[in-house]
Amino acid sequence: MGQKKTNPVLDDLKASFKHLRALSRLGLIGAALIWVLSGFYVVQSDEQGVVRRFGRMVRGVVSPGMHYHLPWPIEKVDRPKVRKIRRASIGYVREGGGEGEKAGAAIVQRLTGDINIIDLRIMLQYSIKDASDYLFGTENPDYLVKVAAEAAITQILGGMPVDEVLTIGKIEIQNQTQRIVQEFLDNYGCGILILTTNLQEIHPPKDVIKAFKDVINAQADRDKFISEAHAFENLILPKARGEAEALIKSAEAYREEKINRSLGESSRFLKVLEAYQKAPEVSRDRLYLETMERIGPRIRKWIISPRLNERLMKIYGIGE
Amino acid sequence: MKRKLLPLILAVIVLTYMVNTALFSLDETEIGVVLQFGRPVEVLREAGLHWKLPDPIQTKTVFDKRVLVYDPTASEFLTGDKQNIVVDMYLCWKIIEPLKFLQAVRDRKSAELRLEDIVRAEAGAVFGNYPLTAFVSDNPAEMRLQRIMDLISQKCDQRARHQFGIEVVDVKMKRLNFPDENKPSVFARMWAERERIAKKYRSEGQEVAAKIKAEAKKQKEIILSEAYKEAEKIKGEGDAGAMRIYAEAFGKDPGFYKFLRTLQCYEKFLDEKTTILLPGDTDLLELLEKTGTVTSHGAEKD
Repeated sequence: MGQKKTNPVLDDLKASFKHLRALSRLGLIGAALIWVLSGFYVVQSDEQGVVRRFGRMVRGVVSPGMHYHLPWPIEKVDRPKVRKIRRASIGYVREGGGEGEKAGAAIVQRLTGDINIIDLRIMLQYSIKDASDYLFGTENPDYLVKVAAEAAITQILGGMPVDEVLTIGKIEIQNQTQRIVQEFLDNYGCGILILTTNLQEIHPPKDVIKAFKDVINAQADRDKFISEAHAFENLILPKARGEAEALIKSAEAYREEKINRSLGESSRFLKVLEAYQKAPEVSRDRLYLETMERIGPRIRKWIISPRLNERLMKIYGIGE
Repeated sequence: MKRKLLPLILAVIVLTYMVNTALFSLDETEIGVVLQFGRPVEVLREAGLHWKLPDPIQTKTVFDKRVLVYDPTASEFLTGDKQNIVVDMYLCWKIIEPLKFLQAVRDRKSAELRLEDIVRAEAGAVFGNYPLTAFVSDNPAEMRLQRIMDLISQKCDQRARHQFGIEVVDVKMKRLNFPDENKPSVFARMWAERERIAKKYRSEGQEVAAKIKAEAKKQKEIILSEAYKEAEKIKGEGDAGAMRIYAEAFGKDPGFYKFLRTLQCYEKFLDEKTTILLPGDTDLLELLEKTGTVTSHGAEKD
């Protein structure tokens, strides 16, 4: 406060200090401005912002866009990619190597309900359901997805016979895995949503795969035998029905023929009879002679005169 | 001025130090313990800004309060029915009583070692009470894997809580398999089982096929014989009808019918191969020797 105004050197110094002071004030203001401006941040469209003030979460759901937070060290922002689809694979070699499974094993083995061994690979796709849970709920949510899926698979396959696993069970296994993994993860508070579960490979171990394939062949054989039998059936039954129809038709034809013939013949007879009755004797002879005329020409005849007859008999000594 | 400045600077340094060590923030993922000369005085569970007496009077230790995963290596167990199985488990746990945790295990690594011991002991004891079919079975009534694992996590939780201030959130079985040396016999059994099933399918097919064929043959016979029956009946109708019609017509003059029919018969059975010996005095040839009597004969007959 109390300043001496005597020394000119001091005054000069003071004057130049004034400049310096003004400069440093400018610098200070600039630094403060930068510090204040550093609070601006952008949340991208696939992200969600989570703001912590002195470590405590104050805003959990910051939607995409430009926002402001109190600059460091007061507040800081995490921006997890909540829309990003993440994957977890079981049965694939992962960097960092075998976790529980034999290192380098490209496939995992599980036991089925009827104590058969099965090889499989499964892939899960998931995204973040709740950003704060994802960040603060568990230590390593992505790793949890993997181990939870392995546990779910063990539990599901352990309750299913191998035939079901290999045939109709695939969809069932996927659905159940998804449901159970989700249940496990919700229990841990992971903040993860399982989107799809894809059973990419499931087959018997290579030591027994031939025997399994033969069962498939045997099923095909069984179906082949049966369809062959049906083919046989389809061949002979229509044929038999056709034959039966033909038999009946020809019987009907026979009946019609018999009756028509008899009708024809009897009406002819009746006509002839009618005419005959008008002159029986003459008609009788005429009919007889006409018939003989018709027959006569085509047969060989030996006519023996009665006299010759007698003579011949005498010559040969017969007829006595 | 210099005499005034020194205490000021000193005061600023002391203040900064005190603020720096007395004011601290606790993250959402952390749980903190405040110690006064090594003696715990406060547990801080809420994230945010906190205050304590400056170091070295009070110090703080923080732990992760999130659910942590521990994945010990797989190990062999014996089931109730004396089957050797390899089980790979994982464990989810979290620190709930940091004081107890601090006193009992101090850090994560030793906590995990202790947890592994507990899990192994509890799992061994529980697994030994159940046959293999309780772990894997196609009969839902027998399959108790979930209950077994829940029981193990419960027991581990009890012990870990009591001893280390740890909550065991969950113990799950990641993998269950036979030891490598037992696998060949499992494969042999699987092989035999598949062969049996294949055989069954084939003979089933043959059986069904034979039945279908036999049934088809039977149907064929039935169809044909029924048709025969029907056909004979129809033919009979024809025969009977014809017979009735003939009888009705021919009955009007049986003598004439017989005469006509006989003539027809002659036409049929007298053919080119026939040779007839006609005695000259047959009716037909009666005129051959006596001529000129046709009319008279005809007249006579009239």
